[in-house]
Amino acid sequence: MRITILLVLLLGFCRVTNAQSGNNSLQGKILIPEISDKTLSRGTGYKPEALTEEKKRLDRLNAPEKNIYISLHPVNFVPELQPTDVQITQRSKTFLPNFIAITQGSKVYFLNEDEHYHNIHSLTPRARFNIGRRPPGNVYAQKITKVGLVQLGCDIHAEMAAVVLSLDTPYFTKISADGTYELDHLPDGQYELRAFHPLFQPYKEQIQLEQGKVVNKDINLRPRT
Amino acid sequence: MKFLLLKLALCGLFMVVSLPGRSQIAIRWNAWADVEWSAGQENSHYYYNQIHKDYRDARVGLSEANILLNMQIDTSFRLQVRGQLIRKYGAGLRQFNLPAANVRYAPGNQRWSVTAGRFVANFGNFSEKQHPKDRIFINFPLSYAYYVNISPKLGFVEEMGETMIPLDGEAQWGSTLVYYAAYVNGLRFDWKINPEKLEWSMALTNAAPNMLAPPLDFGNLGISSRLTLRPGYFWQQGFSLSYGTFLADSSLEGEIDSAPRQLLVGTDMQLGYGFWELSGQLIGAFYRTPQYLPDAGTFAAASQNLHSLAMDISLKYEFPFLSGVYAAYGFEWLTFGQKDESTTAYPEGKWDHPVVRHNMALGYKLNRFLLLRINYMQQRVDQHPAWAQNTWRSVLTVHF
Repeated sequence: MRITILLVLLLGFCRVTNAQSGNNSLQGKILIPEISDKTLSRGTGYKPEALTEEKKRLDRLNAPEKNIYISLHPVNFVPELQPTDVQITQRSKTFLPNFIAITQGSKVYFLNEDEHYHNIHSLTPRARFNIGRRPPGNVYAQKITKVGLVQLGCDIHAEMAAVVLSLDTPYFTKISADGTYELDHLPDGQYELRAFHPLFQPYKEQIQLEQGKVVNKDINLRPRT
Repeated sequence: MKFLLLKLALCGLFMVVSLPGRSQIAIRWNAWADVEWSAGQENSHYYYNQIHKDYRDARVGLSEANILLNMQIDTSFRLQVRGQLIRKYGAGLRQFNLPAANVRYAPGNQRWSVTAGRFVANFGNFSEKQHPKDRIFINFPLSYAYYVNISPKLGFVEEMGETMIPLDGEAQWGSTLVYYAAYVNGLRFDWKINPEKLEWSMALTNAAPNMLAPPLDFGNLGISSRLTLRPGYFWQQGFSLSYGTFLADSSLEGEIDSAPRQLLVGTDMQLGYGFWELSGQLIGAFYRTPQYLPDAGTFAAASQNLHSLAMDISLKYEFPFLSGVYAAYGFEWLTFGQKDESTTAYPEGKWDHPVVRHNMALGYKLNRFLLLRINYMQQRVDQHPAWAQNTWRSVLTVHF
């Protein structure tokens, strides 16, 4: 029995040790198709908000092509996760950003910059929460313990929606302004490469990183049908 | 007429989508449906508590289905159509409505808009709560659902609920203070004077708010206005006013001395903080209406000045440790003033019985698409304490 436990511990140690060696890089370009407004899509109910200049500006900041996340998920070792706390602001009845990635166990700080209250909640299984009506200027921290997508909404403003992508890996980044991405200091190992935004089809591919190489990988995303 | 309207709306939709260069028009759609379990006590009736008298025993079934289409034609014009299938007077699922069929003009970067067609009434704050997920209780407030002794086709009739007066193939049950589904036909102007603090709207409609006239019936006229204030982030206060005529299409014999009309004055508030919400509404209704005498089969010589007062207040609490679950309590009161001549069947010369209602509800958002509400309502007509109009209603709303 003791020998078995020792072996298991040793194997685990080997996996982590193996994971921590190497200094690989992954880089590439995200190729994005033009997103056309769908002829028929889900609406937000009776009162679609008017497109003010501020709304347009926020929509540009939330544009899908600027908010794609690329992540590497180790297959043969378990990485150590550190919290990557983020802030989501509510401004002009819009979440900013309306899509963001974090590591599992991180906190999301909700900041209300509007002049009225919002009621942020999630009905996602294993990530249900409701922070209640929060006044302007109020900041509330919500820890996300689930891995995967967490859908956010506001009880008072049906048109408000955001998504948090909670990841089980520390190796992720957001697309750059020029459409490229780069991940450095990656341990040797086998990974699943993913690229994600709620409006695109999820991208997945197995890759191998070893011997301090710089790997180029362009990713072609497709819009969700 | 309703199916003609639907056909016209669909044709209009098809034509706009088919216009050259309009191939990229985006249509946003939402749909929702209610599956309801309900049971009402022995004095239940649709005009008292929204439970049809033939369906007092427990029953389960689809009670309502809706589809809402919003089409942005260009940067300024938007077309909105909502089709609705509901239980006719709480009985079978066979009444088709078009609660919305309108075109809205909202020029870019302007704070005002104009809407023409059939749209949600701007009187009061309940009208805006067209979607089940915006409503705390299943039952509509008394001012929108309790039928008082004024028929939109006859005017005031004593003991209307007990007096069967067939007219145009339907029994006359009276009317609610505000037409229960809260949509109207006409022209509406909205102005966000200060988007965060102050909004004003005005509507010109083809009837007073207590009746829904056919879209192309211009025999009546109504005007309504609403001012919405937000003095603080936690407080919204509304003031509404409407004035209009009804009863233009009465086919009964007899002279009436002046056009029947209704004046509504109302204020509503909503306070919220943390997991609490307190909301309420106060409506005063003032009528100048003829009195119909069923026994004589004609109108009385003089019209009546009648008034009533409706109040509702509700408290809602969302459980922070049970996300998506809320509990709520509501109190409602509907009372009536005295008739001009105190020769009435009601105590103290009033023109209808006062009503008190207690509402209790539990709601649970199962996920983004499913909402379950359980509602127990105790309703008492003051002078008839034995009248049992209590109801149990549970509704599962599926919405996309």
